[in-house]
Amino acid sequence: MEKGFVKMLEVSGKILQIYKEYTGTGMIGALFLTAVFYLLFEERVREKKLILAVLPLVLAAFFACPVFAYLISGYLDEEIYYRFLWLLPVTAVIAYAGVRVVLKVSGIRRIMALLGICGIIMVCGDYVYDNSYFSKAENPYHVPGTVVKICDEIQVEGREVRAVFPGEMVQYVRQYTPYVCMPYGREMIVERWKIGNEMYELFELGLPDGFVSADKLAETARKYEVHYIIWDSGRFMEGNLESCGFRLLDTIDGYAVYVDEKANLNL
Amino acid sequence: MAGIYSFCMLFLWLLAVPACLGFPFAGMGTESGKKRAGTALVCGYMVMWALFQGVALAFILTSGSFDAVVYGFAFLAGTGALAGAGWFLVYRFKKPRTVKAQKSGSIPWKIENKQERFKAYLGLAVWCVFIALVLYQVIMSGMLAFADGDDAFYIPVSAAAEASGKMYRTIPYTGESTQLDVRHGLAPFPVWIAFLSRVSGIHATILAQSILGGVLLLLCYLIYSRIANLLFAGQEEGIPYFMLFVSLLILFGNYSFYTSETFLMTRTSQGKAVLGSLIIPFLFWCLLQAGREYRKDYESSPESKRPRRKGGKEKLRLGILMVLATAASWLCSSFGTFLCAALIGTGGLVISLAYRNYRAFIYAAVCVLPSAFFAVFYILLQ
Repeated sequence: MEKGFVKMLEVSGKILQIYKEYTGTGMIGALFLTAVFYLLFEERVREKKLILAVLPLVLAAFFACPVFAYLISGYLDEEIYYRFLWLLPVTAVIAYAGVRVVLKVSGIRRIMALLGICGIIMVCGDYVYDNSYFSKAENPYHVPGTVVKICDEIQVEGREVRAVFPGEMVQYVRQYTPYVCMPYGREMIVERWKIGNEMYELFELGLPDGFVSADKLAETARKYEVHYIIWDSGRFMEGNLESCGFRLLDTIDGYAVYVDEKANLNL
Repeated sequence: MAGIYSFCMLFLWLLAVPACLGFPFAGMGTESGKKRAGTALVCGYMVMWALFQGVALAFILTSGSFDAVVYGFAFLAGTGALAGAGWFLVYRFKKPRTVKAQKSGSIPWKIENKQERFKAYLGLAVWCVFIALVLYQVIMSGMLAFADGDDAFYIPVSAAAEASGKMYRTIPYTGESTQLDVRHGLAPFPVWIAFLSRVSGIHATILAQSILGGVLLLLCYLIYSRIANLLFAGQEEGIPYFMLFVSLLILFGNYSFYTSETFLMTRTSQGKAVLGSLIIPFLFWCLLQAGREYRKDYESSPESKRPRRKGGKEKLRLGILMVLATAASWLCSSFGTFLCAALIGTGGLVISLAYRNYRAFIYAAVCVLPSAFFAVFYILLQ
């Protein structure tokens, strides 16, 4: 009994954490709640009141219920529980309540109400294109131009090739072309997934010595059947890959492209 | 020449086919049953995605080839679209010809009453701002790249299916062969993108990153416009204000990384974004209609709450549409199965309690049943 109670407390804490992370500053959440209660008391058409005010409250109650969350987590990934909040019709409810306010007044006051609500939305929300992950697309693939140039350089018609790329590029390579394979991909970059890979540990982290030696890199690359090594020219490497049977094919935007001379690529 | 061909194919598969498939539902949402092209299109997308889910799933689970999915879906959707187009032609032929009345009441400069003229001009101005905001978002979706790690999974699935003809048999991150990835294979939205890539000849990545973003954004606004039509039936002056607020809420919806608005604007062509920003609002539109139908039952006979004869047909169409939308949600995300079932089930419960009509709950339960079966199927396959 006591164990169950502790478990529920733990789940409640997680729910609160998810809610906080989801709502950010909480201002849109407050606006939504205001709109819901406004409709609850003001709306006269029953189905609108039920679907836009009562239903979101019931769904929110389900979300906040630790027993419900605990049961769900048995079947679904805990990480995506926040998506339950997608069921709250935040956009439709705030917009509808806002229009009801606007329609109550006329003339110049209507313009003021309209501008006021637009202002509230803009202040409470966060402009999406301010997100630091946005950048100007370099091409219609939305893939960095350097990745495109390197992939075009190493592709061999009629077959797949395998290349090891620096961490900042791995998530784009196979978006551009499925014909370039890699010994590891984005799954290594996401720390919380904690997947081990010798090639990654050597190439990216320089383990176990704290630096990358050309001999060890060439040996590991061959073990993983890697045909190409893409190396950031500004990064330190002990020794020279060219003395280990790799030929410098080209240097593209500061990245040296090496090909294994022993690889049978029919170049 | 190739560009014209690609454009025609995209026009066919992103506009003509869904619009024809959705024609049987074109009259939904209006009291008069008047058929609307926008309603046909949004409903058609649900029909198309549900159909694609059925075809793709059959071939993914039996290790069939991507080509089989392409031909199978093209045949079924094409046949369905032709049937819808035929239905439309018969409807147009049978419909008595009426001279369209001049809608002088909605043209601002023809309105004599000063106050009404002011409202009409304001409405027109708001429409213009809304259209400008939507165009801005559509253009930005093509112009700006968003560095989202999940794209490293979903887009290679599309690209690999198109290139190799195999589905969910390679690790998208690396390209290595693997066993069937059941979890993702049951929600094959990337395969739909691969299908569009195959029929249009456009690279799957270009489609996903530069083209579909705009299309799905427009579709999202079309769904909200259906909701607006329903909410402001008889008070149409509220529609432009509603659409303006919706566009602002989406544009300023990035108050956290997790909101459905953020997903819509940053990962538009991922199934998750489609689930949160298209399918769930679509189900709200359906639930609003279901609520209206049960209110009418309640008002027509408050004691017995017996369904009206006309309402039964409407509810049947609505039920079919909700089931199709839930099937479309399976295509988008495995979590969609649970979310849509929870929404319809809770909606049915709320309606049944409000009108003290147990039939509403049974109705919702029947709509949820396919999702329950799919969930069991999912758990068994895991």
